[in-house]
Amino acid sequence: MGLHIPFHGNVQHEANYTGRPATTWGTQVTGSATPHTLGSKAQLIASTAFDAYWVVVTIHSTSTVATNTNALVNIYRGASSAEQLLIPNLLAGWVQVPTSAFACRAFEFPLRVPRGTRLSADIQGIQASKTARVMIDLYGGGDSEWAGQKVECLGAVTGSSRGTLLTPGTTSEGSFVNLGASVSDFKYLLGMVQGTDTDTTSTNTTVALDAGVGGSVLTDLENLNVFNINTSEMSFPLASSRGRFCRIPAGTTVQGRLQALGAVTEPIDAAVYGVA
Amino acid sequence: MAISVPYEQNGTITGTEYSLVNDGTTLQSVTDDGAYQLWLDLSALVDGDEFLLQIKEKVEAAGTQRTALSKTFANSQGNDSHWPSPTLILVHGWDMTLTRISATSRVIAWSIRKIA
Repeated sequence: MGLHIPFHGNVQHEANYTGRPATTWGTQVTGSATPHTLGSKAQLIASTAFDAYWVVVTIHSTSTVATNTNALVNIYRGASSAEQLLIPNLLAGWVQVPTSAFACRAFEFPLRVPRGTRLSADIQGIQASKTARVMIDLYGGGDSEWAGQKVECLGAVTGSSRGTLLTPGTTSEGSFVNLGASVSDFKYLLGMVQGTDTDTTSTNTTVALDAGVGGSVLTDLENLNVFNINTSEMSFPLASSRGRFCRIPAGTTVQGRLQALGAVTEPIDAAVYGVA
Repeated sequence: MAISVPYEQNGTITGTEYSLVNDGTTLQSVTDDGAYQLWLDLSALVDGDEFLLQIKEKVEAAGTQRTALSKTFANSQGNDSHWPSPTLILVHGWDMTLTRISATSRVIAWSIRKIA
């Protein structure tokens, strides 16, 4: 007699895009006319169809040729005019339209979103009235592996719409830089980078982000996420847009460092996202 | 083995860590052995709320009580507003606590079921 019940988690899916692939997939968000100021919230999904346990946010169409396009996107839950922050400060700048390489930057989170939830987003940027397109995918139904209920961002600098600047090492690792202290116990960590502040060109290369504490890399969080950066400083996750499950206690100052495939001497924006 | 419910209450959870065993903010070190399961009624939570659950126990009788399981509950819980914990064998000095992390206190009901 078989007693094992096969695991069939996250078999349901919904998204805010459908049909033939298009450069307009997702929902456009527009920042304030005042740089580094959030614009109006745009609804992504009016009412989610099922209890979701895995959330993927994909951002595209923020780059402009030879221009610093630093930007941050927030995801909210809740009714119009009563939204509550769900996923803060996603690094959103320096991403092209989906007809190009370096076209999308995806963020994956094991995050519970109950059925019937309204989801929305907004953006701020170094440019006035900054725009982006935000795609969201929800996975759920059936049993699930662990999913958290909140996301914290460490390393975002909202006054500049960017992350914390990390100078990549080359043959050696770069130096660890404090990104911020966790408020809650993180059980999942995702790293991300966008462009740089110093100019609008770069070496076409690959960089890897390590997460550490106290100057030491955390176990299994070396090369947490790996990114391609092109000569126009467009960047996107190379190997995976998924983070790793981990245990980082509340109150921990998390650090980041970068190491590059080639010579990159200018600092690159980075941030990490912890799920609790 | 009998099933019982030795702890069953509701209370307003504030920013001070609250012992569900004691129904108060004086934390406990219970040595009543058993297999225990916590149930929470989180239906009062709304978007923007955040509460932290901690289940604590000693590994050795002479050891120090530390957190064995922590879980964040954030925002409205939707359909699944009743949350059952794993069943844990608790022996040496345990407690189960809730702490409000966000701004607004909420009334949360709980029961701790025992097999012994």
